[in-house]
Amino acid sequence: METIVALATPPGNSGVAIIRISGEKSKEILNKLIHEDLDFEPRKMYLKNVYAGDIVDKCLVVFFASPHSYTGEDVAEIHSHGGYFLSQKIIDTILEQGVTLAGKGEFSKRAFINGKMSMDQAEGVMDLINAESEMQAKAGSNLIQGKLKELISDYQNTLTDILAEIEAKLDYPEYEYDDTETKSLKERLLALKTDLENLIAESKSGLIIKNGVKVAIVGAPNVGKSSLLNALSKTDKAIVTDIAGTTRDVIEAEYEYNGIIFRLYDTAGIHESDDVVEKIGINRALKTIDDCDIVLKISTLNNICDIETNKPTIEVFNKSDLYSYNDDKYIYISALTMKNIDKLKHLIFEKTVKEDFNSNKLYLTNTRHIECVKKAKKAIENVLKIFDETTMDIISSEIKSAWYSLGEITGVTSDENIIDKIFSKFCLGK
Amino acid sequence: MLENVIDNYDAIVIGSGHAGSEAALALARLNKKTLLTTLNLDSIAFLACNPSIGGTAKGQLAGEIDALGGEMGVNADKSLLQLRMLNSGKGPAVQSLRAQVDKVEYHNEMKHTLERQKNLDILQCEVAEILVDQDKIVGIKTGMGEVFSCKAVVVCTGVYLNSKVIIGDYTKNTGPNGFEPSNLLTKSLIDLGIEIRRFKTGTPARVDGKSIDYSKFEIQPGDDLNVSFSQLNYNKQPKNKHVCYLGYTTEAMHNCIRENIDRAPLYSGKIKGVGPRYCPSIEDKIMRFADKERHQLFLEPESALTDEVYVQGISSSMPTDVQRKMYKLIDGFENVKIMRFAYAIEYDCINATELKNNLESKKISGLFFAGQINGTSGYEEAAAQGLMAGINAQRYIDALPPVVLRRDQAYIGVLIDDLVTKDIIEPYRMMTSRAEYRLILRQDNCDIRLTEIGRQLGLVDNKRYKLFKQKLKLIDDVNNELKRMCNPKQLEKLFIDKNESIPKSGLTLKECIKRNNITIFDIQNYYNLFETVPKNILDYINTEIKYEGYIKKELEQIEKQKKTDNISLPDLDYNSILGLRLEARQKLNKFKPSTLGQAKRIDGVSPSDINVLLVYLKLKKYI
Repeated sequence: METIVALATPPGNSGVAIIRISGEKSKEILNKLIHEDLDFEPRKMYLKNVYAGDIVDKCLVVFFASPHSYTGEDVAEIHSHGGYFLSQKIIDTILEQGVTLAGKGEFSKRAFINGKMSMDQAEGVMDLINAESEMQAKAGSNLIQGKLKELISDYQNTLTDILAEIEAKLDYPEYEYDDTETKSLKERLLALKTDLENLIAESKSGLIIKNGVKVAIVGAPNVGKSSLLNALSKTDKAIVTDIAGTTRDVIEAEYEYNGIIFRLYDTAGIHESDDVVEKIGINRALKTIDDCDIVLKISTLNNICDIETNKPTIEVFNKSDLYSYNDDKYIYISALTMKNIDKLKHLIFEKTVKEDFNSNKLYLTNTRHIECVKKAKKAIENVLKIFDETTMDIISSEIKSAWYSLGEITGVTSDENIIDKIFSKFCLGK
Repeated sequence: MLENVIDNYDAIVIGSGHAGSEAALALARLNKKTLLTTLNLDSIAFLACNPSIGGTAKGQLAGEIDALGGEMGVNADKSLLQLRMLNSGKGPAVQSLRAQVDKVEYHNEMKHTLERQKNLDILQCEVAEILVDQDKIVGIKTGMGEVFSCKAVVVCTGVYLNSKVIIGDYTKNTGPNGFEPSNLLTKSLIDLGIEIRRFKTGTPARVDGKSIDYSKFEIQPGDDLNVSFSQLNYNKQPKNKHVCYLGYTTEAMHNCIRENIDRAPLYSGKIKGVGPRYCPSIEDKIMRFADKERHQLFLEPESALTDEVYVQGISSSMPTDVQRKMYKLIDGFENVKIMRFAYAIEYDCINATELKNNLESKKISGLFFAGQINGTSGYEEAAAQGLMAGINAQRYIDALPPVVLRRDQAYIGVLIDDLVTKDIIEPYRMMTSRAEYRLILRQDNCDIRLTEIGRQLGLVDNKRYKLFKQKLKLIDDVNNELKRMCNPKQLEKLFIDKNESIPKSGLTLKECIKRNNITIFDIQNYYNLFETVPKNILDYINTEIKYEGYIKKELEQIEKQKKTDNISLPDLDYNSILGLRLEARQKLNKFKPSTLGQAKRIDGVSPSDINVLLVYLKLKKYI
């Protein structure tokens, strides 16, 4: 039987993903992935670098010799870091070796065939792949490489320098100091503040990589919001009828575009309604708009969407198979005929991520990290605000709290680092 | 059982420097029958380096020692020559008192205080052996063979253990100033399993004041202050009796040192001990900061009874001929006469991470260490440890729980916590940057922070306590007065004068002081208030009001920290906690921190390691 491969764990965000290979070539494939030639001791975990295209991931790998395995065949497992793209990349690499992608329930089927599993057990095994995006894998793998830490370390070092200057003068007030820095303290703090602000602003992109872009579809009843959701996501999640007010709850669906997940929120049509249930739906729709990154305002010939929002918006004119006009205000689409749906996808991408998006850039994707950077920025902001009217003890205390916040990311929180800097920079002492 | 015991003591303090004096006084004052041994009675509380007490962070230490009932502040006030408040323009949190003191008087006064102390005997002798029975202190034996029994020993040998003075090629096994070194005790410590290492420090030359051309120097007068080191002198106006001088090194001097650098023991490899960055020798300064054109130096009077002048900034271990040449190249030193040469000194000390946070050995019960033997530098650092070691030795003898000041309570707390947790590789100097709660650990509130603790320990006598209570009452009265509401009309003139926007509605006097340009003294003048309140108390209240927001923030941080910091750690094998990074495992196993807070402060233990520890402790139901 041919060798097969598939993801054995549920797809999506998880700490670990397990890729399972079953069949005669399992051991050979595993060796190729780790660039080695090992005679694996069965059922023993090895910590190895797994090479998949341009990505290297530190994984646990294990080999099970037939018949002592899940399927009863030779089986290899790769326990990689979680996330769809990384595991997909590894699977792609395996597929290049002439391995076949396992069909639904195929491992279980083989297990059943080889007497490892009863039929009803085998039937219970399901796997559904929840698409996660390519960008996220990149963001994750950048983190692994510690590039982000380097960047934050640079920022923290700037603060270390500043603190060393301040502290030296506080602890050795009787000494004279040659100011080696050309830029004033304030200028340097201001520059750092800007850097941190950018990092935070970009963290939005980072979160988008991780969580996807939230797209709200709003408009009056029966302008075809649900049809659009179905068209964009190529599903039929939303019930489409001609009856206005069919959608009462927020319906979700998603699609991937340029490696980013876009999450669609179809909302109840917003209008004055006496229907209690519909009213709740409308309130939810308004709340959904608040939570989203972009709003698609759907209009038709007779129903112009006039909802006001301060979120980025795209004016969409649906049912343009019936009527269209050549102007720039709207993008004319038809959810029915799929007219301009791809164009709309591109527009959504451009409006949400493209501007400041660069796949080689570093983005904060960890909420804790973002919080730390925000705290640091806030402290520096405060220093700048009070700089001219307060004394050095206060200024230093605020800068130090910014320094600690960044240290929470870099792991450098010992004051000794500042003191070392003082004495390497200045000639002090009796 | 010990044989031929000369006398039985509760505690014996070895060494009578700044640590030993405080330790002995604390023990005796806490009713322990105490013996203080010294190699030389004339070296009691000897100021072997600077003739000065205090300075940044050190002023706070001296104030804290005083608040707890220690002697350093009182003694410094008695022997004062000049007093300054450092950093006066940089905010109250970093202001520190610094005094020039008369080193002869300082020694005499401390010696006399020790002599008059009840429960305290002083004996000149060299201690050769610390006597231990089943890892517990039982006594000491002197070099002359006399045995004294005791329950606790405080080792305060300073820089005298196997000390070696180095001047160029000349070396001599001697303590500072030609005092006898202690050559026998190191072996005893090693036999007890104590790790010994070697540190180095140095001191500049003392020169004849009559040979200095002072016109080439800038005068540094004292400040007119109404504060003293000791709260016992709170109502006295300290008198400045002497001035100091500021001068600079010259290019010619630098060249002279560079030309002779191969003769500097530090560079020829003769000195093996590790020296402090905090007190670099002039040759070190010139080699390490080659492009600095000049270095400052300060001339400080040694005593009112001598013409000797201390040349701060020019410590050295160069041979005498180079010293003669290079000192003369200082502007104003053309005809200078050196009276004592600068020298470097090497000495044995221990690794303080072998101590518990009450300064007691982890190995031997009742064996305490304080001062430079623990790897610190500075009189104030030594005295602070001496005081705490004395207190904790008494508590050990009386089977009371140890007293450990927290990092948010006192610089003393920061100091000792650093000493027992950090891998110190050079003499440790206290600096304000080491304190994370600097806005709270101020010079002006040492007594507020610590007097009550000192009282409970039994070191704050009635006189001091009464003064303290009076001060608290005054502060209360002023604060109550400041709660008074004021009509904005009434305040108009003041606010206009001070360039502050006029308040729209009524506000309290305290709220006025919160304005940037208005101080408590403006309010005092405007309303003719607080006439009988000493200025330093008003200063203190002013600071508390102005800093209220920041202090509150620090207090919140302390509360937050306390929750995790105070979690005590059982004796764990950190190697078995695999979530910890390897470096963290090694460091934690080495230092065996007693609390999570200590673990956190160990260099090489990251915040994520602490999280792993927290999870581990919870999983294992330790917390």
